[in-house]
Amino acid sequence: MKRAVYSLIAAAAIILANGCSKEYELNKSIFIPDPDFPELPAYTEWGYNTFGAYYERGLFLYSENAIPAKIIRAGGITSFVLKGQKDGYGYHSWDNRKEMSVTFLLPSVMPDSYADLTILDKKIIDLVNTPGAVKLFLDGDTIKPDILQGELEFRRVQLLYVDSKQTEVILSGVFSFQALIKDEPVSVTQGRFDVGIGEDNFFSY
Amino acid sequence: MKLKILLSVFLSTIVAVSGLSQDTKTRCLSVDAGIDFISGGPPEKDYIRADRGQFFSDFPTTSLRGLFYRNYVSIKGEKTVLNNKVGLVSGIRYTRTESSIGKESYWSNSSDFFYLLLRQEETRTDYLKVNEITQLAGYLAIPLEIRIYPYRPRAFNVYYKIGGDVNYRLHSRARTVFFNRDMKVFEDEIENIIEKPWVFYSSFHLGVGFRIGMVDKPGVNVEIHIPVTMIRGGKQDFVTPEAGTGIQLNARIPF
Repeated sequence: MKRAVYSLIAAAAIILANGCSKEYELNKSIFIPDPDFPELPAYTEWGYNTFGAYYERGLFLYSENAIPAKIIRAGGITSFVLKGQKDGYGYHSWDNRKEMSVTFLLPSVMPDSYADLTILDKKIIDLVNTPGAVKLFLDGDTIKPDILQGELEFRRVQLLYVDSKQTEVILSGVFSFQALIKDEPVSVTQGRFDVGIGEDNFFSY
Repeated sequence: MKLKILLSVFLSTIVAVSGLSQDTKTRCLSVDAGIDFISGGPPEKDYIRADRGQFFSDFPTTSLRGLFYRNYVSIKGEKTVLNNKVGLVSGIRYTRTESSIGKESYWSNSSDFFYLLLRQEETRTDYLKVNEITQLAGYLAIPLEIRIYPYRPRAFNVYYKIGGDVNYRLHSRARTVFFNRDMKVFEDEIENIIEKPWVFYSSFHLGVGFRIGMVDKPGVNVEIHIPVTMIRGGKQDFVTPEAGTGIQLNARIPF
């Protein structure tokens, strides 16, 4: 009986180790500093699972402790969510009080799987003329700001094959906007993202 | 082109050896073999995905090592001048170079892999998981050396030297070890992605040598070269060699 249990544990460990090795390498975040704004990740197209922007003069940055990006298709709406921290002590730390996320509405995009996201390649979304285009989670509140100006640009979308096997989609792009939040005009500038979307962070329900 | 180079190498060897015949006490012919290990910087390539973040912009983005070594065999003639205090050496040499990315050390392989960008076509991108890439090249070379013999000749002598060689590529090939062996079909494609080996390169070294055996009898020399540096004839390197060290064994026959 003991032998059977040990065998099962060993088999599970081997399966987990094999299953996780590739995912771990592609899922982990790799920070390459921007040469002009070294606090922010450089704009890249390798699927480094990073994003960053300035919220006013503070940082809105990904964290090692949260999945940086998700695509959510629910109730006939598709959203692109970037989750991280505002004014954190860097991407290694996590403080619930500093949690911040930006959710972009992707109008007329109805992907059935992550592979369908290639339709976003080179797509520019005008955040002013898209109702409800941006939603923020900030200081513990969910906020629907009035967008004064701004856009979200998917500069490159790549369906990634690793060793000829379809693995994920890499979304790389930039964003910036000005908005009224609690009647105060604020700006989000120098936004950039380079994230992988696969089975684990594509949601459809 | 190759024929001209072969001819000039042959002529230089003849000239070097014919110079020896002017003084029967100051000439020798030798066969040597040596190896140089030259460290390389971390290979930051636009076809290799970074595997670690940077704390500062000059911090390497990869844990990969770039390794370079070369070994060679030569036939050389030596003529000593200035009361046998200085030796002039030249001849012909075949050099084999091996540059690698992904190996942990010169003689051990890595079980870890890195992602190599194979191709990007519209919205499709292909990465390959690669354990290591090795580039092998063969060169024809002319070695040139000056040896200083400051001490009175004995059965065991120490001498100092400055030397180098000029190399011209004869052949090359690349070898890739894939994480998934089924990807072997892409080996030729990878050879076209990586930087080509240099057509020409030169190496220079300082060294100390030990001459074992009397000058007028057959004997051997052992030389330690440090540092060994290189000047490459290309804008891009597969591995960027910096500086290293080498050892040379030499069997000589005076005549």
